Amino acid sequence: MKQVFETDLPGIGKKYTIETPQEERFVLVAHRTGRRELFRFRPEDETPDICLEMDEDTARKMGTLLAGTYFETAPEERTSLVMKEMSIEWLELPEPSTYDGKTIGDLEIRRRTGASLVAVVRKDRVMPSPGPDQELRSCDRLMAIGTAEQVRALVAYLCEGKACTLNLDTSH
Amino acid sequence: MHFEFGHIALILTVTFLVGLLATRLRQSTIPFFILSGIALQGVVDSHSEVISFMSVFGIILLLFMVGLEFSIANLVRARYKILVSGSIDLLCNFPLGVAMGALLGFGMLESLMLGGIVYISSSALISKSLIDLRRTAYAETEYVLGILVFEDLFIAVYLAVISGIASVGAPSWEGISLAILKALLFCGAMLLLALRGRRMLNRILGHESFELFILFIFAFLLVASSVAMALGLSEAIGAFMVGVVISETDFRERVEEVVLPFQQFYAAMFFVTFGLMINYDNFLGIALPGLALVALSMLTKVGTGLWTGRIFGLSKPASLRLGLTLIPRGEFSIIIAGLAAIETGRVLNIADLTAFYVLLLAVVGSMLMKDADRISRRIFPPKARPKQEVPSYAKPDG
Repeated sequence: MKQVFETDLPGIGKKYTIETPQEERFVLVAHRTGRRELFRFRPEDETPDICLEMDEDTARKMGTLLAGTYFETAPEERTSLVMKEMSIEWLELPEPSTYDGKTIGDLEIRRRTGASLVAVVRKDRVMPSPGPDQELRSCDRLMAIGTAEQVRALVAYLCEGKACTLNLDTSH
Repeated sequence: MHFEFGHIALILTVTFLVGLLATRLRQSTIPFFILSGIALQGVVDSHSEVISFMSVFGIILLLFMVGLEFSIANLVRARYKILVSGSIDLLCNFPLGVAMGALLGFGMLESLMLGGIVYISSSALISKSLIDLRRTAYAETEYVLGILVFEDLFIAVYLAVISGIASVGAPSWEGISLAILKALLFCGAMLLLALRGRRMLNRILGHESFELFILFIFAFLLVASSVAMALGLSEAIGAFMVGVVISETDFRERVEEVVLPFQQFYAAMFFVTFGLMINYDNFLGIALPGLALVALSMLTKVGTGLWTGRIFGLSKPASLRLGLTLIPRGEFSIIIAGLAAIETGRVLNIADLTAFYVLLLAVVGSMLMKDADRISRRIFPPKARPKQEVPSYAKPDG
């Protein structure tokens, strides 16, 4: 990945420059007013040949589109959110599952993996904040929360090596 | 009192109409406001206390906003770039004004003032044009803005020193060094407040009441300006430093938003008042030296651009654009002439020259900025690549 160069434009805002593999330069000027301007400079050109201007809202939407993280129309597409320390993962118990009918307490999920289940979804029923006596069934969808490691341990434990996360993002 | 009311109504109406004309012509309003002041001479009383108060308040608010925009952190982060390009700018342009003043037989104080008037570009005009012309992403723009930061900082201290000298009367090296020492002490104390008083200021400004918010800002502004004046400095440095102090708090943007309307109103009044003071009969007499000064100071700004560009490895067209962009003069040149005239109570002959100079350079400078692309292309034609005209979006059509 090419580096992003950041420059102050005192009184105006900030300028970010990125060079494409084709040696074009894309320059984003973020005005303090929230307005954004995006310029393209062809290789060795001093003046831009394309200039786009947008207000802050449009820029934010465009940003999510460009980054491929647009939520609004396709919430199922991305089911894992990785924040700094915390990971949220959706997973589905295999069918059949050896844990069918066992409770969360029986399985000692927290003690064995460190992760917690924050919701159980069975068909159309949602059971938020399940207690230790909540029963699990095959095909239940579970929402788990913990560090990335704890969640990985939970997935390995509950899914017994089968692919069961609903996460389409395979980068981690 | 009724009399004065009518005068101010007249000033406001004329200024509004002239401003409207300026916007229609896509020109900076500053030269037009000065012209409206000149046109109103003889009709309104230029010695009115209300009018001169509004005009001084205009200076205070202008400098306050400059201070507010000023970021110590930005300065420290880009210090090499700002210091080097700013020093080149100072070195190229300030001596020209001083030399010209000496050549015209001005005294030392007035020559020093002419130095400042010639040196200082118009931040307001340039920043606005850079945005309007969509030139923010150009390679030279960060240097232009860096130079403006340096100029802003310089002008605050310079104003303090110059009016310190002006109030003493006959300038002496002793007086100058004392004025500089006092200015530095005052700035130091305010910087200490900026660093140490942040928490306290955040608490005060964070108060829910809007009227207390604005009352505090204006009280702070006038207290600091009065202290600066009591020290024999200028109210301008007080206002600038209050801006710097407040820019370090969490409320910079809110303060800016709230004060901007006041600033625009009173700054317009300041430019008109300056026009009222001008003796345009003198324009004919100063036309020759005035034109020479205009021509030479365009050259020195271009020289600044070429030199800066060479040091920082900018291409030749970019360096030329850098120089051309710095040409417009405006609010600060007038502040220097106007402030000294107000504080010393005598209209110096430098005011007429400044009016002439700024009227020309605000207009010519904006035109050169608009054409900087074309001019630099003509002088340094791009090689090989198929010829592109100025991109259509960069044309100033709104």
